[in-house]
Amino acid sequence: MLECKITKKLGYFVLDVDIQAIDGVTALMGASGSGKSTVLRCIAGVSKPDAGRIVLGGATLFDSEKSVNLPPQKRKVGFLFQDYALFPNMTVLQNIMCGANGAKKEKRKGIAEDLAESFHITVHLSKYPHQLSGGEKQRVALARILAGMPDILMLDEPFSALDSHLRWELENELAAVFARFGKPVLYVSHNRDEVYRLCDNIVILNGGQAEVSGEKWGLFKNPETVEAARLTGCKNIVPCTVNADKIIVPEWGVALDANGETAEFIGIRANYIMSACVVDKSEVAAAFEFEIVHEIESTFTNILYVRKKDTVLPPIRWEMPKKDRAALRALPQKLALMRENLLLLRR
Amino acid sequence: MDLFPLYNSLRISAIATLAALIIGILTAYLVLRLPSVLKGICDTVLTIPLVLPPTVVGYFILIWLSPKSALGSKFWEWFSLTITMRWYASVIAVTIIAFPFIYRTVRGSFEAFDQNLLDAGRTLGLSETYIFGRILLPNCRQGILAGTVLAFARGLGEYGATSMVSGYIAGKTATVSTSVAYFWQINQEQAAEYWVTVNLVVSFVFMILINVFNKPKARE
Repeated sequence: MLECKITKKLGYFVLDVDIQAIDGVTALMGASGSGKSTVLRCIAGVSKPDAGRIVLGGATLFDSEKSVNLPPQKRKVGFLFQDYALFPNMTVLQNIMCGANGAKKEKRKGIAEDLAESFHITVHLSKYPHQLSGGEKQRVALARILAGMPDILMLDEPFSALDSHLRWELENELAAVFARFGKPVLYVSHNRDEVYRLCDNIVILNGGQAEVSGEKWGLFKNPETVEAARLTGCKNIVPCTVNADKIIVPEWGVALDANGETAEFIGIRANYIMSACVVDKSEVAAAFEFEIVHEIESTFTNILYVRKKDTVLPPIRWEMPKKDRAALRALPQKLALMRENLLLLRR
Repeated sequence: MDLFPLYNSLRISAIATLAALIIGILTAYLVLRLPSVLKGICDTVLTIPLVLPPTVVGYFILIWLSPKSALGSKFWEWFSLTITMRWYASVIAVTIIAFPFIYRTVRGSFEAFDQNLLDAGRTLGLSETYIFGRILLPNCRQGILAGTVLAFARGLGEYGATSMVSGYIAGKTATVSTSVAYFWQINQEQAAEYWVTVNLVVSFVFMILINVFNKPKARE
């Protein structure tokens, strides 16, 4: 269990977060500059918060009121840097042994060799980091961190330096590492699919604040804020106003039943828009005839930019599998927004 | 031909470079950790010998260390030791003059070094001493080496401060550069020419070495 309630001023930027991470994987999502990396650096102890408290597994790492500030060396934090930060002057074996410091040399070597085996990098043990591929570097960096038996794993966009074809294999390996680890894992990323597959809980950071947090299914279903909706991949987010019992959405040209709910913004995911001809009418929040402004053919889907017929409203993004696109041609050009798919959002 | 001046020059420069190397590396490491205003001030003060005429350095050494000065007289009192007009006075002068060459190049390579590697070392539990000695220094060796060669070359050719604090005493304080001036002044042109040639050869060798060490690193 990690509790991290800290503030830190960096020029005009103010980081003010209150994050809890239970055992299991917690994703920190946020746009660049939202403070994700700073949070990790503060927990690791390589940056110092102005005030607050960081408690990891019962041990206080930082407490401004009690003047506690453990050096990073004493925090037992496994930090995977974005570019892996392997020491270029040391071999793979020496790098991993660095992680197991404190023990006797023979024991460190044993730990390093065992980890190398489980990460399938035994053949690279005598190589230097510059002789390794990106994926191999990541495995070495992970082995090096695990050698120190940390109380928390923190990964800062672990796949950003990798080619996409390597990611899938490494992602599965990482999932296995997380499952075996059994302690809190903080995972910084802005790839929503990666986060959905690897993580249990999500914290959304926006402008230095932990805006929303929760278990992943709930958060994808109801992101609550504009930033959370955007980060979880919602492509259509527009302002709306609530008037009596109606939610008026000017950019879509529709008014919906409010049913007592309120919102500043409304969103719908691009692949949740339906053809009005194939849905249960009682669940429809709004339906209208549309025209296609622009169409993009992607690998497995078609992306349509549509708007209400005979208007000049900004287009709505609608994504569908290719076979659905073919079927749509035969249907009346009418779309439906389902009540359960609408995201009612605040700023 | 008497080769003492060459031996003396190499000796003075080697000892001074070693001293400047140790002091320069430690100062660069400490200055980098200072808050930025203090860093700027320290930086200026420490780099001043680079632009000062060496005679000014010589002047201060004489003021502080000559037998008549406050500190110099104590050395005589306690250790029966005279510092000025000895070959080791030149070591002090050359150390001060060579220092900025090492300090600046080393600080430059420390600054260019990926700070994440240092932080990674810390989170792995490695001590600051280990990180300094086994991660920072080895990965900055290119810059440290380049600074060392520059400092050594500068030390070999030192004249202004050397001639002030050690003078020219044949077989005792004579160096390659003071020899040239000395023999020219007493109209021994052949001897002067000989030492000019020695200077040219030594400088040439060192320029080659500097170029070798400053070659851009091959891409990894």
